[in-house]
Amino acid sequence: MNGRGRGHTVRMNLFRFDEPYQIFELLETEPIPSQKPPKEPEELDPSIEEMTARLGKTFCISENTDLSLRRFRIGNRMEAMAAFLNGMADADRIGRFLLAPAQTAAIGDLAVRTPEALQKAVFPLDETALCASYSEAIAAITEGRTAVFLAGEKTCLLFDTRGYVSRSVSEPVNENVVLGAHEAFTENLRTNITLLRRILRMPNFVASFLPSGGKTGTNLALLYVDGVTNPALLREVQKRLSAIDTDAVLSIGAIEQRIEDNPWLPLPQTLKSERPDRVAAALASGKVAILLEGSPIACILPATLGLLFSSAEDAAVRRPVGTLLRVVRAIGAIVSIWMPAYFLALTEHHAGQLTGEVLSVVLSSHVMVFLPLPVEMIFLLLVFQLVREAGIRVPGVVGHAIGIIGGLLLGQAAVAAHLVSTVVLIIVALSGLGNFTIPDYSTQICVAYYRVALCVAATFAGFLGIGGLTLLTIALLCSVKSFGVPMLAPFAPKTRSVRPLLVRGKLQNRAAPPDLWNAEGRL
Amino acid sequence: MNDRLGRFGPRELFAVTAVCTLVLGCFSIRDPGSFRDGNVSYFATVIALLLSVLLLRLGIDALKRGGFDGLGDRFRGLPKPIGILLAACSALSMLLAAVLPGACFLRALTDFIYVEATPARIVLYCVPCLAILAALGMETLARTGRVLLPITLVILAVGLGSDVPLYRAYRLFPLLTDMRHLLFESMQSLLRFLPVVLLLLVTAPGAQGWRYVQRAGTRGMLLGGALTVLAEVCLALSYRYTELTTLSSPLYRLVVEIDADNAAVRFDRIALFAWTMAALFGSGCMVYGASLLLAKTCSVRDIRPVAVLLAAAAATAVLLLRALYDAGWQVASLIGTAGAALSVLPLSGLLGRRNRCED
Repeated sequence: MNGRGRGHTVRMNLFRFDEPYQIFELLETEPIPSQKPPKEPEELDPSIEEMTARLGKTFCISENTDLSLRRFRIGNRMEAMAAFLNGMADADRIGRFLLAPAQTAAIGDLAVRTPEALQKAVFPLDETALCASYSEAIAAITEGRTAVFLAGEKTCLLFDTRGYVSRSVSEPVNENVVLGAHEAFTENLRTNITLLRRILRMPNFVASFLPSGGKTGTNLALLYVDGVTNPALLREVQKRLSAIDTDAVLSIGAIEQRIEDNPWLPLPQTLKSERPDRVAAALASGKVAILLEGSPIACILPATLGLLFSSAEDAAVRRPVGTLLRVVRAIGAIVSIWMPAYFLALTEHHAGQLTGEVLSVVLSSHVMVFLPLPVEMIFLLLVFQLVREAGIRVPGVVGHAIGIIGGLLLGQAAVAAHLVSTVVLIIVALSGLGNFTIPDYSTQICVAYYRVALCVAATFAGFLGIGGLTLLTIALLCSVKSFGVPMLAPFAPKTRSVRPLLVRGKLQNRAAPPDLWNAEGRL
Repeated sequence: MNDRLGRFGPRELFAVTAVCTLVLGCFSIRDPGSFRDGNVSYFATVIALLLSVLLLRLGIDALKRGGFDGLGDRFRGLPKPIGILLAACSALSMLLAAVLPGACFLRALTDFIYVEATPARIVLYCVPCLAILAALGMETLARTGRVLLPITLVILAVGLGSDVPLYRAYRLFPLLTDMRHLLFESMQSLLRFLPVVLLLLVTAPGAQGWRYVQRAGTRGMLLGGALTVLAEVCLALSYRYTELTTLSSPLYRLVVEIDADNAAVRFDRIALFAWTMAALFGSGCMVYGASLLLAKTCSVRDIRPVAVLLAAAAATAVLLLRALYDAGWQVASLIGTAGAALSVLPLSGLLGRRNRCED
């Protein structure tokens, strides 16, 4: 021991950091050297053995048993190998239409045994293609196609054998209507496009497949009607989609956030719909839609505030009824947004403007409640959101039960325990009810939290606060554009539109498309 | 240059003009002394309105013939000191137009609504709103104006309509006892509408041509002015001129306060809410106009710092005016406001020199 003494040693031991740490912890302790895999050559190997080894390495076949590499002989003469992913490809289809015809084919009659000739003479499958690129072949296999590699050939054959399990078409969950179609998108991109093609039976309805930009290789489909959609809008959407470069794109929301104009704004700038009829109507009017593999939601753009507040049922009912529905919806939204803040402003700052009866009712209901009125209101609004979120996340009947329990029992108990007053409870309930009249789910959430902000403004500054925040919100909405289209169009700025915001317009024969998104023409 | 002007159509310009004219007309300070020789304010407003429209047309014609984009472009074409001086005068006029309704509105708010609140606290809430509005730019303001116009019209119609049982025709008299007084009143009223003319001339490059500025501007001014005159006639029908000499914020009372006993719904609360928005919007437009003019003339690259500065200056001026108004020093308050506004100019000049735009 040196002359510094025992205390020094204890201190040194206490502050030692070089002890080996036994428990595994995922920490980045040192920079990971660049481990870029060597680039695979694009050319295919003519040797089946070489191809087997190469595919095995690419798909990590020692651990990944999904890849099937089936070797066979075409017409008992030519060596070949079929590569496909179990589960993604239809094994029955491969057996019946690929392997069986290949093994029984009489290729001795063929003058030349090129892949083109085999494609035409041997395989009775409809969607076939020739492929000379290794990466394309890999992409096809991961999609569920089958690649057939031929011995001595640098070109392989691709067959559409996709047959993975998917959910069947069912009723919409979030966009229910009384009068209208009752089918919704599924997670299968092909099925979704088929649902749309069944409505839009036009040759110029285009479904353009693009990579989603994620390394997961998920595909998306850009849908539009050629000759109706503004080409500038299409170019802009394509440009923004091609700029996506991320690890995984697994939901349509991830795409939406990456391509919209103002990702910081709580209000959605695209309309998400699960209804094929709604998407078809949007496409027919010149909008663009995006569908993602694995997502049962379509993203319609550009979107305006009017579109976010419109329902699929609006056009299905008669004009006066449609107008009435819209008016009711608007009243619901107004009540939902402003009623709690309005009440707070009146009671906190402008009590003199309340009549004596109203004031006495408010005071008598609040007399035993220990929370200040603004805190009580904001607390209840947040509890309402809590009940709502719980109801959504909990599946099926239990979710409904939670809504009822939350709404009735919790409210009743809170009043009995003098946690909240009855007047505030009624106002929050009315506000919540009004919130549900807003058809778009993302807009509902935005409004739900915006009313809390309004309540805070009303608490601090009464009507001045509400007026100021409302004015700023209107100005903000006026400044926002969705893919070049102002959110408040066709009202501000005024543009030609057959269907105004509130009063439902007449359904005209041969009506020109609205000039909000400068559609090229009509169908 | 980031002038936040954008592009806006004739309908948006019409809406902005109408709302600004209405707000300036209804909420600009009116001297109680105006009513000492009879109730002539509505005559004076008509004359001032027609003169303003005439000035707008003359201004547009002059700028059009000179090949200028707008008033800012015209001032940039002048020798720099003269250009800056004229721009400062015009900006001051617009800034005063933002300040005067604000002061009047503030007085009404502190007198009737926020009785216990200090004016500074109320103004503090308005400053961010004013600054953000002015910084958002004219395209946004134009569209916001289009949203606000129908709301303001409905509120005004209900406000004036609900008082119909109280109107008495005999209160309109006596009329025109002194022509000199009428002339003086008209000149004073002209100051209420002139800033709107300036705003139109300054923001003209964002509109779709002079023709639309002239058409939409004239119509907007006529609509806003006509509603102001209507409100003043209703005011004259409601109170005798002797009452008006002592009444505080009479037009505010008329358009916002509604007889609670007769109204099924207390509409005045919603009216207050809507008028607050309209007043803030009108002031925001004027602050933007002043900022744009100063930024253009002084070659400031970005309008937003100027807009924020002018919004703060306007708020200070409102407070100053409010304090002086209570002491009854109306003339001094105007000079004080002008001085406060002028104090911003050297700063704008500094910004201009530092961020001089090459274009």
